Amino acid sequence: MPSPKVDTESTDNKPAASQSSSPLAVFRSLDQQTELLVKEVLDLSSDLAIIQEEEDNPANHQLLVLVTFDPTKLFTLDYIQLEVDNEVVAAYQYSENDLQALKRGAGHRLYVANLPAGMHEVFATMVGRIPRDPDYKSEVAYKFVSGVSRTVLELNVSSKTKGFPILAIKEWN
Amino acid sequence: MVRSVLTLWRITGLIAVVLLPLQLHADVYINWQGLEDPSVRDALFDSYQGQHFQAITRLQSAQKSGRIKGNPERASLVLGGLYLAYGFHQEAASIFEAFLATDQPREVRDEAWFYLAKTQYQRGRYQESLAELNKIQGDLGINLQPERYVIEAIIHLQQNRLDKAIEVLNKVDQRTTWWAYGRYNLAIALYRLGRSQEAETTLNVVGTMNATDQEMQDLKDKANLMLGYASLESGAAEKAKVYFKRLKLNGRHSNQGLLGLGRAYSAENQHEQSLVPWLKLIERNPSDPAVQDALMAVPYAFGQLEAYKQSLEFYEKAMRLFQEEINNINIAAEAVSGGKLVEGLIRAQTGESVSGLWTEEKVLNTPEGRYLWPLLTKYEFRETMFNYTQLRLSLGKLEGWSASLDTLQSLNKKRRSAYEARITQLQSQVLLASEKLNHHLQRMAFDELEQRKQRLVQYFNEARFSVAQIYDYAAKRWGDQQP
Repeated sequence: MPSPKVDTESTDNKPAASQSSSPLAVFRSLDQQTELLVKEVLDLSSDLAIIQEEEDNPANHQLLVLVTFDPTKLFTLDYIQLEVDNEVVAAYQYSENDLQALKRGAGHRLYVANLPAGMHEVFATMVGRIPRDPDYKSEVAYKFVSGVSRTVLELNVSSKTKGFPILAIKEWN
Repeated sequence: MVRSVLTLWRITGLIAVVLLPLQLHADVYINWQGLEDPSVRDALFDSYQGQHFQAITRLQSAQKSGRIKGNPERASLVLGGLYLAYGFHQEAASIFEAFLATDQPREVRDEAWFYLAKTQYQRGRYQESLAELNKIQGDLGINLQPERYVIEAIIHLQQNRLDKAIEVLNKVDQRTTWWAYGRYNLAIALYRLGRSQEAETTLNVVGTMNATDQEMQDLKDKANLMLGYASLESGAAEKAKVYFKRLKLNGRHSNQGLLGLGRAYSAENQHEQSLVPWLKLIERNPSDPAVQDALMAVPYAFGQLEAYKQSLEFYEKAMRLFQEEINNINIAAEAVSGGKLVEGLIRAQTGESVSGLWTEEKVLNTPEGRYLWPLLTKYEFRETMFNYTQLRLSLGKLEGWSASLDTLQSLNKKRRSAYEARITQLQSQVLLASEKLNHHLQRMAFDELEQRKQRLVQYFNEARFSVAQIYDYAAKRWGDQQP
């Protein structure tokens, strides 16, 4: 019977074993190095982000609108629309993932921009579903002054009042 | 008589394997209480969407700019949680050590220690993990407590504290899927203590459970597989058949099940019956070690039946397939040394799979790639791939920042130079570290390939030896005629 040739050579071109350390020790050492480096990169990232943000949106003129959600059993948030000085500037449709994040205490960055100094008005509309009303709507308006310090507005969805979900605005100072 | 080349998958090898579901990184769901600060909540949103780099950048920027309203310690703790969710436990550990002992509610502290322990466990840091688990003061609730017990028990098992492992595993709540993992690992501890009867009874509960999803079906199959091989090892072939027949015919463990079933028949000299599962098995993918075992087992069985012509044919078929597989391994080794396979896996991980060109399945479902599948079940390989991917992404960011520094108008010459130097230094450090990681990935891939190749070479040689034996036997019995 013809005997096929079998290659018994070891797989070539392989890199030399990493010193004499055990694979787990090598892994741990590399793991540690990676984390230290990624941390340094993150430190640099936050430093540069501060500079970039200050250039894009100087602190005194910056408006940040954040959506938060107090979990309610009977309400499903669909979307929120935001107007600033009668102009629609943001509209966001919430996915299941987004809602999960909100329910766990996260805040959604709906809008960030640079506003001229002076009085401004925001108007927010929330649309969602409650039993027997698939187009439940709540609106809220709020006036604030820009140019003094960074303005952070929290658009909070809750049903603390009368059991119906409402949209409220809180300004953070 | 042609000698047997059957190698029994030994129960001693099987019971070394403890079981926890394979997850790359722990999903960190610490139920932070009293969260109000907008910057903290903003960062958490990114983190919960898997945007960990951005989440940490945002929260650290807020901290450095003095924008945290209210409790700065809580913001630091959340930052620790963000690092943990990203998969980096060292920074998380140092933050938790510094701040968790303060006025945080017990539930928050306990959850933070739990997720830290889980991440450390996944990084193979068992001592640290156990130390963190011991800091948990209360009950973590139905969602986490059973998992906590299973992790703790596995660490005890890995460090050979079997009685302690058993004590902890007996606490796992029956109402969760963790209970099945608990029973499986409990059986391992009992086997190791030599309490085989109790181990079998325990494992039988898992092997007969009502599996409601794929994960539980896999665990159920694995339990039956272990029961089957344990029975074979103890000479109870009849019982082994019952266990092997419980396995799903097309499940993840079906190849090993078919192999075991054939062995159970073979152990009782029922060679014709042993051929039924083995002939089915050799039609499957020959890169699977169980199929390779069957390729040797089939001609062995024909030899036992004195059907030497068929035995010869199947040995020759086995040799052809082994040779093809050896060739595939050589191609795989070239693809690994050229960086193609590892690169493909990294691209599949970093989301460059949008076009469908790079998915793990596509990269690995090639004749050469199939040999790297087992690596993806190893934490060390997956974590190293994750680390390598993060460093590659870091390099991309550093390059981007280097190019955009000039656009930052507010930087004076001195500050710009300082940033340039910082970026350049980090680039060289990250590059060096990523090369080391790539080297380590290649090393692991080569080790896997080498191990598989040596096994095939050994089988090839044994098949060739058996063929010679058949010719020798035939010559003695029938002169120069073919068998």
